Amino acid sequence: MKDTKTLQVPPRLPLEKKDLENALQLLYLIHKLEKFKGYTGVTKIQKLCFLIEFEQKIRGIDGFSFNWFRWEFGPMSKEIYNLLKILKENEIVTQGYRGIILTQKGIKLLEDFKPIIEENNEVFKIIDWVVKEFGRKSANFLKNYIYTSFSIGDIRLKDVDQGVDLIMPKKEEKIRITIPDDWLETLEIYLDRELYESLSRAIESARTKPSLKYEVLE
Amino acid sequence: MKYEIYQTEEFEKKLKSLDKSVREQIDKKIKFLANNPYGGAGNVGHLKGEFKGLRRIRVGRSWRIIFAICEECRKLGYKDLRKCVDCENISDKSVKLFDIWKK
Repeated sequence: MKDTKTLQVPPRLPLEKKDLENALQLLYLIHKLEKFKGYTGVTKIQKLCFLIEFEQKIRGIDGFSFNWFRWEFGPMSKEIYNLLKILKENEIVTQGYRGIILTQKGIKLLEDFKPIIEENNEVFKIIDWVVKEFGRKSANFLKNYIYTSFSIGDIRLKDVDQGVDLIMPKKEEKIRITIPDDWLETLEIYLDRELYESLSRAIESARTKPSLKYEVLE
Repeated sequence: MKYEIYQTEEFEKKLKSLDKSVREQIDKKIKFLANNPYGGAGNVGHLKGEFKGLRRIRVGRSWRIIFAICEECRKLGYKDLRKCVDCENISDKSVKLFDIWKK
């Protein structure tokens, strides 16, 4: 049972491989939701992620990978809160009157990662489908839809106790999101403001000041 | 050493701020790069996106050096991306150290 009253999740770096894979998909989802006029807050994003992961899993796709539990306002994953917090703190997403949207840096990141998104077309196609089907729906609609339509065994999610883990269906994995190591390392830099700014400063320094000879230690 | 090693001001500043033991570890890796910048068993990778043309090498488990190989940069056209101010004055057989950080 989880403590659903206090949802304090400290941001955590460095990100693991799975976090980076989740982050790229999450950014893609947020970007796709921007075409709708309504407010996209964290609870709506949580439910859409649940629907995406469920759909991926039943199709044998290893894409999103979060731990879920039943919460009053819909399926909940602390990892998504954590990830969004990191993305906000590193200026990849921002929260305003329209909810969570990508910053210019976030948009640039997605553009730069287009080859990876295209190579993982089967994974990202599910996000497109969920956005098309559910992107306009309110968070409340999504909560009711998920709690009345989804079950664990014979029990509808609406009848499951608060805080109980929601286990995703297990199908044989046919496809998994693949981000080569070089891209993962680059993604890590994009997502860490300190690293990103440090490297940008170094590049700028090379453009404006002659470099210095390195003398090896004796 | 087969390649000459250059460093950005940023790199120099950061290196100077590190403990001696870490500096020695990094220096050892730089000597390795000076003889074998393309890698071998050195865990060298390429950065992508806006950092295309830069490579990274691991130093132990937690440190990373970001560098470029001048001949590669010129051959693959990354020169226009990086736009180093002293490009004309540095030989092909050079390695430029850009940044260093702890993972």
